[in-house]
Amino acid sequence: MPSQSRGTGRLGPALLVVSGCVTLAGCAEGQNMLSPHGQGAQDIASVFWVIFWMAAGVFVVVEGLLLFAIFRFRAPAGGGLPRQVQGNTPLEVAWTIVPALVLAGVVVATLATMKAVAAPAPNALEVTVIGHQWWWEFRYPAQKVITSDELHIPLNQPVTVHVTSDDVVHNFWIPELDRKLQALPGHDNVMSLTATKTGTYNGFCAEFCGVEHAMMRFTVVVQTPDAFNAWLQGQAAPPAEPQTAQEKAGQQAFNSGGCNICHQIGAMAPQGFPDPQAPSRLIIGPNLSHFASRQIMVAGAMPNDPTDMQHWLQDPNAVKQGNLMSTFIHGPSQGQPSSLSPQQVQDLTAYLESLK
Amino acid sequence: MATYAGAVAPTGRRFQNSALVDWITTSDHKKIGILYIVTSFLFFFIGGVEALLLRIQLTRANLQIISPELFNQLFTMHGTTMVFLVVMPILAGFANYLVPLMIGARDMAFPKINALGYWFFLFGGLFINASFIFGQAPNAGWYNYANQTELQFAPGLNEDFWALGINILGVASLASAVNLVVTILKMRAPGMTMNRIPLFCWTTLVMAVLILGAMPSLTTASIEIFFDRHLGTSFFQVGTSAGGDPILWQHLFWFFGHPEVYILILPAMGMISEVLPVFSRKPVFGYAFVAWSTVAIGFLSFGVWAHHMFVAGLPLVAQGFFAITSMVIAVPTAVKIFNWLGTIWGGALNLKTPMLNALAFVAMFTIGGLTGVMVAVVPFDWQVSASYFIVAHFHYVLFGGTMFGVFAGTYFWFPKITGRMLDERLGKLQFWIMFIGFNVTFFPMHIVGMLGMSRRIYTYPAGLGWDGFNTIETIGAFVIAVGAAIFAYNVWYSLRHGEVAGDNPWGAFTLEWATPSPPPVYNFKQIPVVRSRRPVWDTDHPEDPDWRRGH
Repeated sequence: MPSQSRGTGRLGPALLVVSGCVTLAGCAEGQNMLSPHGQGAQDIASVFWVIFWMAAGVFVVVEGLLLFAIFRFRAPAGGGLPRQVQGNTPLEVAWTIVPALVLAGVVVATLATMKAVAAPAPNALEVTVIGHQWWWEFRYPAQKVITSDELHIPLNQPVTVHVTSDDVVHNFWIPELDRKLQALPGHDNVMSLTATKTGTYNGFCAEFCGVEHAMMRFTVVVQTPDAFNAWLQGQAAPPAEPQTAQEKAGQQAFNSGGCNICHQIGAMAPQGFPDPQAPSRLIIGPNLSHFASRQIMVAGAMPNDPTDMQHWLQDPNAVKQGNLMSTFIHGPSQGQPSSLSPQQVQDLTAYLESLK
Repeated sequence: MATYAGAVAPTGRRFQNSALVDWITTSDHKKIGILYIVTSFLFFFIGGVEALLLRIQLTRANLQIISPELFNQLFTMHGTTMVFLVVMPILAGFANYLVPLMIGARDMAFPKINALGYWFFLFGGLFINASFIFGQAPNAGWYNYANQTELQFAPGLNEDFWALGINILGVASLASAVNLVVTILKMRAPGMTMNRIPLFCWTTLVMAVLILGAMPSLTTASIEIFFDRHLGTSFFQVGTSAGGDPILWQHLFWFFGHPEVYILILPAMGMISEVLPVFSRKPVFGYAFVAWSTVAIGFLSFGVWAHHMFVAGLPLVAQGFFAITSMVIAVPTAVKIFNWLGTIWGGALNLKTPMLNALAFVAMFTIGGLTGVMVAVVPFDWQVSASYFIVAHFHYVLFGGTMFGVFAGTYFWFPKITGRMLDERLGKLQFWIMFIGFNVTFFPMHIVGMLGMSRRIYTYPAGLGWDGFNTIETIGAFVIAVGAAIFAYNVWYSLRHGEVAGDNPWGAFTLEWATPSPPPVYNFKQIPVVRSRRPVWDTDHPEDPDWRRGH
C-alpha cells in the first residue's frame, strides 16, 4: 500500500526513483552486517569482532614499530654508518612461529563458525530463490506459492533456502540476516536462514549480472509465525477477481495485451517469451497474483503505489534502463510513443493494485 | 643505426642519439624497459580517468551522470587496464631494465623475444582500448564471469575484445617470463651465485615462474569462452548435453587469478627490498629468509584460488581447505614485513622520496594483508565477498602496496635510467598528496562494504547510509589525481632541468649502480667479478666489505 502521497503526479521518473528509494530505505531496517538480526549474521558478526581485534592488535604493533623506527633511527646530522647487521636467525624463527600460531587460532575460529552458519536445519520451511536478470523470484513449493521482490519468513524459525538462477550468475544477500550465496544456473545452493527480529530487511544482488545489476534488490519481511501464516495463506489463495469496471478493463488489457505471456496471475502458468538471443530459452516475468500485497516493485526500484505503477507502465526504460519490459512497452525514453494508451495504463494500474 | 656514448659520463641528455627507428627496432633491454615503463604510465593515466568517472557517478545516491552500460564498461576497463596494462607491464619493464644490470650481464637471454613482448603488449593494449571506438568495451568485469559472457547474454563485441585482447597480452607476459627465468638462471656474472642476486631478482624470478604456471589457465578459459560464443561449444553453458558449467570459469580464472595477484606484488616487494636498505645505510635484514619466503609464496599461491569462490557453494570441506592454505600463505608474507622492519631498525634513515614511498608500501600493505587474512575467514567472506570491503582490500595491496612500491622504484632508478634526478620537493609533495588521497579514497570502502554496498553497482538508493562515504571517496580520488598530475609534471620537468646524477647518487649497493647514468648499451666495460650481495658497497667501502662477513 502507498506510504506517502506523490503530490503533483507528473514528476520525472528520476525523481520518482529517488523518492521511491528513500521510501524503500525508510521502510526497511537496514543492511548493516554488524547489526545482525539473523542467526547466521550473528555468528558471523561474532567471529568478525574476534578477528578484527586480532588484526587491530597486529596493526598497532607493526605500524607502531614502523613509526617508532622512522623517528628513532633517522640519520644523525654528523653522518656515520650504522652497524651492518645482516639478520638474526632466532628472531626469524620466532616471528615465523608466532604468526603461525595466531593464524592457527584463527583457523579454528573459522572452521567452527563455518560449521555453525552452514548447519542445515531439519524440518524447516523450504523456500526456493531464483535469480533472474534483474529481479528475484521466491517460491514456497509446499504451499504452491510463487512471488517476487519480497520474501516473507517467520521469526525464529529456520528456513531452508535453495538458491539458483534462471540465466546468469547472481548472488543472494541480506546483510543483516545471513551470509550471501551465489545463484548459479544449474546449481542448487542451499543455506539455512533464521531471523531473530521482526522487521523488513534490505537485500541486494551481490554478483555483477549485467546492465541492471545495481537495481536487482529485494526485501525480506520477518513476521511473527501467526502473521506469516496468514500471509502465506493469502498468497496461496486464488487471486482476487476484479470488482469495478476499471479493474475489469484492466484485466482485459492484461490478457489481450500479451502481459500474461510472461506474468502469471492465478493458476495459468506463463508460456514465457523466447529470448531473442537464444530462442529455445523462455523468459518470464514476476508472478503478479498478489502483486498489491507487496510494498515494493520492480526489484526495489520503486515503492508499490499507483502513481509509480503508472510511470513504470508508461516508460519502463526510464525507470530501469535496459530492462526487458521495455522491449514490450516502449516509451519516450526509447524515442517511441508508449504501446499502451493512457486509459490502458490507468486500467491496468487499477487491476494490478486490486490484486491483494 | 644506433651510436654509443661509450664510457663518457653523460651530459644529462636522457636518451643517447636516439632516432624513432632506433626505438622501434631496438632489442636493447634498457630501451625495451623504458618503452614498457612509459607505456604503462600512460595507461595508468587512462585507467585513472576511468576510475574518476566511476567515482563521479557514485558520489551521491541515484545520480544519472553516466549510463549503466557505460559505467559497466568503465569499471571493467579500469580493472583490466590497471592489472594487464599498468602493473604487469611496468613491473616487467623495470625487470627488463634492471635484471641484466643487477646480475652483471650485457642483455637478456633473448633480446629479440624481449622486443616482441613489448610490441605485443602495446598492440594488445591498443586493441582492447579500440573497443571504446565501437562503444563496445568489455563490460562484464575484469574477471568476466561466465555465463553472462555467453553470446545469448552478451551479444555484442565486448567479450570478444576482452578474450582476444587478453590472449595478445598473454604473449607479452610469456615472452618476458621466459626471458627473465633464463636470464637470471644462466647469465649471472662470475661470483654472482643465486645466494647473492639482489632480492629484486629473486622476486622477479618467482613472478616469472608464476606467469609461466598461471597464464595457461587464463589462456584456456579465454579461448573456451571464445569457442562457446562462436563455435557452439558449451564449456560454461548449462542445460546442454555437453555438460558445461559456469563454475568452471571461476575455477579456471582464479587458478590464474590468484598467482596473478602475486605476480602483481612480488616485484614491487623486490623494489622496496632494494630501496629500504640503501636509505637505511645497512643491508636488508634476513636476505635468505626474504628470498625463501618469496619462493614459498610463489609455490603456495597455486593452492589458494578458491578463496575467491567462497560464496559459490563449494563443499564445506573444500572451503575449509582453501581457508587453511590462505592462512598459511600469510606466514611468509608476515615474515617479509618483519624483515623489512628489521632492515630499517638500527639504521641511519634518509627520508628521501624513494624511502617515503617504500615505507608507505610497508604501512599500507600491512593493512591490505590484514584485511586479506580477515577475508580468509570463510564466514566473514560469506558476508563481504563481492562488496566494497573487497574493493578496499585489493586496492590497499595493489595501490597501497604495488603502486607505492613502483613509485619508490621510479624515484630510485630514474637517475640511473635518465641521468637526472627527479625533483625532491615535487616528489615529497606528490608522495604526501597521493598517500592522503589514497587513504581517503579507499579506507571508507571497508565500512561501506560492511554496510551492504555490493561491488559494480552504478548507483545506489539514498537513505542506506552510503552517501557520505561515497562522497568522501570521490574527493579522495580527485586528490589522487592531483598527485598523479604532479608526478607527470615532475617527470617532464626533471627530464629537462633535473639535477645531473652521477653513477650512484644514492650510495646504493647493487651492480646497476656500478655503471654510468644512463648506462652505455653494453652495460659494463668489463663483466664484474662479484664477491658478495652488495658488490658496489664492497667497492665503496674497502675497509668493511661484505665478503668479509661471508656473503
